[in-house]
Amino acid sequence: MTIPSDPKQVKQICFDRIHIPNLTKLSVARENGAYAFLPTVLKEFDAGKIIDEVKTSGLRGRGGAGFPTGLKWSFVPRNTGKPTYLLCNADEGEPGTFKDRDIMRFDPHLLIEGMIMAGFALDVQDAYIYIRGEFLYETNVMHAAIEEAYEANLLGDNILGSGFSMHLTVHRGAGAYICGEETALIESLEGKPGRPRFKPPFPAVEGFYRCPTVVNNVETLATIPAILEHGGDWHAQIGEPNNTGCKIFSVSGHVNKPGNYEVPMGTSLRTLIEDYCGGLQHGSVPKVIIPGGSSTPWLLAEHYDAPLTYDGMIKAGSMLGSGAIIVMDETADLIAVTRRLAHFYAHESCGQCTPCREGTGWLERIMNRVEAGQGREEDMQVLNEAAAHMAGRTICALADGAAAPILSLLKHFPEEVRARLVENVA
Amino acid sequence: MIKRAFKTWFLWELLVGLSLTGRYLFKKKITVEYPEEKTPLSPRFRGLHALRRYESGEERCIACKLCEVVCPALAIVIESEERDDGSRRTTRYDIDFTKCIYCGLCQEACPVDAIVETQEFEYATETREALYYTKDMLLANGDRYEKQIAANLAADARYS
Amino acid sequence: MTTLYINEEEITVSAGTSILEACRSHGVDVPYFCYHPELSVAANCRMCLVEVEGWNKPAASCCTPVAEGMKIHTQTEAIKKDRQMVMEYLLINHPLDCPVCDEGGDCRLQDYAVAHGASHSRYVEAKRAATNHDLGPFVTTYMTRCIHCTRCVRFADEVAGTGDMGILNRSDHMSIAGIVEEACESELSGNLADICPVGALLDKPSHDVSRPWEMTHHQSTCTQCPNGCDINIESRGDEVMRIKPVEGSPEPWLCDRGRYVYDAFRSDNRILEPEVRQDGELLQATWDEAFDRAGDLLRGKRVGIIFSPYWSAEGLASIRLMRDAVFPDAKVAFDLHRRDMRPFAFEEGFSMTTQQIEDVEHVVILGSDLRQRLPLLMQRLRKRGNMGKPVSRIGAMNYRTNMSISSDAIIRPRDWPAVIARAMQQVSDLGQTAAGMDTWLAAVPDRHEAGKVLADSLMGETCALLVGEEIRSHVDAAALIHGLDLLMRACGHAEEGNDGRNLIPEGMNAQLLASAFGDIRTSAGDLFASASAGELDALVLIGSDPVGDGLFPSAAKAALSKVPLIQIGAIAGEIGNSAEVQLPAAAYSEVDGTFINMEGRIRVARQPIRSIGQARPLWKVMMRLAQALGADVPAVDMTELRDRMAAFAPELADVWKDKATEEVLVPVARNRDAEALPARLDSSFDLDVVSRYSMYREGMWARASDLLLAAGKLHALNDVIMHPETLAAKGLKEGEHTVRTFLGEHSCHIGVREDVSPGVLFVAKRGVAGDLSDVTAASIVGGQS
Repeated sequence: MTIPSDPKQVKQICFDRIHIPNLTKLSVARENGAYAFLPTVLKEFDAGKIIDEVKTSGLRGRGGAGFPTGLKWSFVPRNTGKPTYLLCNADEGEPGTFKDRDIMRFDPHLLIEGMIMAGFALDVQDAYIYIRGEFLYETNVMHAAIEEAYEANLLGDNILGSGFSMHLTVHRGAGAYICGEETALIESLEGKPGRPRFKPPFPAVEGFYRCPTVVNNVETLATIPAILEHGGDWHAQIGEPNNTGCKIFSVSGHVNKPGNYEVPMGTSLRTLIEDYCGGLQHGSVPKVIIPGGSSTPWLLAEHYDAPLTYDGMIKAGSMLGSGAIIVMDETADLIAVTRRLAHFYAHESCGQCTPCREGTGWLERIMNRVEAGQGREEDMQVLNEAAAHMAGRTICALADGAAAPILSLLKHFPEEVRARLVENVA
Repeated sequence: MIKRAFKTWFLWELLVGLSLTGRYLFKKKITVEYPEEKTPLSPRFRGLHALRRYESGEERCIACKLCEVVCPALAIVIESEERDDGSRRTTRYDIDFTKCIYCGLCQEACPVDAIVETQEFEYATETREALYYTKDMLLANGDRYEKQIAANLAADARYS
Repeated sequence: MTTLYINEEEITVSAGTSILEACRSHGVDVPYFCYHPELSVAANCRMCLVEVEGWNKPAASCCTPVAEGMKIHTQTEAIKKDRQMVMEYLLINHPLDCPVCDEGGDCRLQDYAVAHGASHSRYVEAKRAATNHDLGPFVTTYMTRCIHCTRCVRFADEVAGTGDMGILNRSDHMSIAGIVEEACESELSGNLADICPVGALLDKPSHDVSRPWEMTHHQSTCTQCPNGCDINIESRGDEVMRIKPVEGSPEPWLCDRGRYVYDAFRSDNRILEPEVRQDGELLQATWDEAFDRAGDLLRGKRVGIIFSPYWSAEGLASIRLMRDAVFPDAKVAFDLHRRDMRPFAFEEGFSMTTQQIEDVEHVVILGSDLRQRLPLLMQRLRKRGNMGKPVSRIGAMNYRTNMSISSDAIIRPRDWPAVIARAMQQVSDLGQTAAGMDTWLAAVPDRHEAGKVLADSLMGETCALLVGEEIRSHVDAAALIHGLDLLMRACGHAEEGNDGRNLIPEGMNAQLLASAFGDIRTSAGDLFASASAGELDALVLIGSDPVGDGLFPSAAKAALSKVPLIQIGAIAGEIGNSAEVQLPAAAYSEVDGTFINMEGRIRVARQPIRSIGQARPLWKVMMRLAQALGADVPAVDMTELRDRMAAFAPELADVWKDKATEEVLVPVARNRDAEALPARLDSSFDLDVVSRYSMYREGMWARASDLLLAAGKLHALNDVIMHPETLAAKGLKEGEHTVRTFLGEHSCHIGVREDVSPGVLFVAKRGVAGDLSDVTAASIVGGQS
């Protein structure tokens, strides 16, 4: 790799070499540093050292929840007599998120290298990439890259003569949003309908086929090679304390240059949007910013200077989530936005838990009416209660995500909703 | 003493009494000449029971048996089964009017306004057996009094 | 153990318990829909939310394990509001048609709507519609009422083992469905209506007829199989509407046979009045006339008595008392499925409880269609299987069990000695033996590989053998069972009174039958032979139908054409056509009786339903018969009768004195000197005949129930079946063939199935095939041999 060894100079980790053409080819990737450090890891590192380095690095899960990766790995019980599985969550379905897609599309070997290292640390024989059904191109890229890696003995039995064997399989999902939830992903991979399991037991103890299982996001796994090469301390100095490293943000909405931007943690929203994304299309401050994918609560202009860290976003009243920043300016019809999101969640609810199954549909139907100008006086209260009592009452967090836009709309823009209701009455 | 003798000899109390009678003799009458004349009845009057139908002719009763269980006099007996079209219907709906106390709880309990009490109260019979009304008789009552029942329900609707 | 606080109250429960179970066990009310103590946790209804101090959101109590020092609140304002909202979510798509719903009045959703719901709905949008499904003859569906708790899906997967229910679609289009166009095929399907917390799955036979509040509840014991489940009979007046399992009893489920046999309680086949045959026709008579006539036929005559084990213990004991008083020389038969009446070391019945069978290391089913024979024991084995414990089987057919059998072997009945010998060989090669085993082994020249299944299981630490009808009805049953005893002893499983060998009896009260009739019993076949040979003058049939059931229909028909028949019982059946006198006796559900199940568990029914017609408890009829025949009446009331009965089973006296039934088990009787060596069986027939048991047809009660007969048709196979290769070896194909037996030649349709053992002719007990039940061997006329 060519990432600067001085942490102060690090601007990008996962995207460091992504601009290089034909990186999907193993030869090109190797020329640019892929798998360079892998033999050292396989020869000189052991599981304890790798997990310690990852713990020291302060790396937190990039999929949305931000759980410390090293800690997650250390929960996996050893010597259970059962195999341990490593699953890569590439079911990138959160509206607004498109970061993992770029890693897989342009630099599949980075992910494979990360998975080999993670698999080595966890003593995994079989690893899977659960890829979103719509990512047909990326699936083909991954298939080709894995095939090349097998040919080069980077995967399969006795990898690079180290005695460590790991097999990697790509499984394409069927397009359900809920399969991005780790336990639903496990169910789906087992061949069942994707419905989340309740916890405990956690996947680390009883996951895929009731065996110890680690599920990590693509971006998380893609960060592992850099951490092992430069050391956990190096990574811990990037970004801010407790929010270390770089993060890819998928910026979309009313900005001039939407796209994926990897920046060190702690960069402010304003810097990201003004300096990287070319500013807003209309006006000087955004009306609404959804900072972590559609499931996170909305931020307003007053939070424009908030730092993009896990803790900073919580302090501002939202979550960093998967880093999908949706920016909306004055021209956005927030009721239409909310209605569309309500439809999405109603469509994607797995149907298991009562509040989510019935609640998402109910919210959607009310929003349909409100948007069409057929709202009623009491709809605001019903929306508020029905959304608030879904969140946190279900097995997985889909209901929380479904409630977030509705609750944000009613909290920050009650007048707009009321005006639409009154319009109807008039 | 003299006053008392006066009252005794001139039948004073009788005159007082007869004057009251006389007053009422010329006052406006409050009785009616039943059965030629009848007093007005409240829409809530609870008389003979009837089973109603929908306008399509379908009987309203769905055999939920709530009237049977609420009846304090145990005057109602219902048996039910699934009709060929899959709907739940009674095969028997009997009211024993020798038991009925006309409390109106059955019509309060009815979820479909099927069993109602009409304003009909002239159904005295010569035998006790004739007061045992079957489903057909109750449905016939409903057909006969439907206009009156509907009017009464409409009149009472805003209070219920 | 974990200590926690529920609503400020300190309680201690075992570690790993869920909060909901902790609350339930300490009487704290937490509402729930999807949780069921016998099913896995789904945690999807979210009704059981509770507040845990220090948690930022409410916890679903059914799937959250307790933790040390946890502080739980179940009645806070926030939780009440949550429950109200869950009710509102559940009800937005519910049709709210309680008045026409059978569940109304006994419905969890309705109760919780009142207790926890809001007073009105705020939902103004369109409601969801759903398609109904065909779930067989016992379950009717109204899927719009479904709340998607998935109890039925989990029941089908985990308990019934059929897995034929599932979830289609997602979000609020999600729906519960059966397999497309196919009825739910389970012998436990009636339980679906019970576990549904709403009115989506309902009992079909009683649909739209009654209301929960009209029911009178009677507790009794089911005698339709030796399992003897506790039942709750729900009746409206005299009419039985439903039979349900009793909450808190050892078996949480009830099989379809026990549940829907009530149809027979009021069937046209019931004997309601005493009847006497006059000029070839049975005419109603008074009790006195009937007893006079019976007296004329029986007084001073040589009599054979055949009865059913399904009567209450009191009824059975009174038969012995009557016989001793008036026919001291008469032989009795109560088992229509045993050909070999030599005594076994242990009499019929279980030497283990079903709980022990569930817990042991290995279970082997020997020659039994357990799913038909003992559906609830089969369900327990299925539960074992779900936990990964092995269940093996040897038998004449791969009977369907709806579970994965760990090792399986199919054999012909004539192979049994060789199977046992093979197992003995393996055991003795490992240096384990028992006194007499060598002699037994020496008597059998062949070894059959299926014995490995048996020996492997016996080598385990603990092992339960379930010995079924194929061995019990074997002509050499005593020798086979002695062989199994030797094996158990050799492997160290045979302990005093608990040898792990569980011989499945024909019916209830096996322990009492052994002690009360052990000295005078004979095979039913022998009785019929004596009658046909003119050695008997009359037959008394007490609740038994040897023409419709058992292994002697032809012999019974022959005997009944020779001697007069006195029929005493509740159901007349086909056999009633040849009775001279019929006397009504009350059904098992209609008596204050004592019942003993296969494990020896005692149940005393104290709230029976009212008997109909002039039916009287059997013991009264027996005593009156003794009187009519001029004897002193052995017992004039129940107390006297029970005093006499205590001699047969002293454990019963404890229970009548109100000792807890959990503490007493009637042990299986033991005969010390029961040893038998296998005989050489020579047969001129090349096929073994096995008579198939069907829970929907076997027994007078089941045959009198239209509901069970209709369900039986769904599950029916061909009347006569064979392995296709056996037929092919003779150059024959599926179709009409002539079968030769010692009875003569019969023409019947022979179907083929891969799962029966080669060399076996499987026969059902009906039609032409029914007559084949008498024989143990046959051959097919024609074809090459």
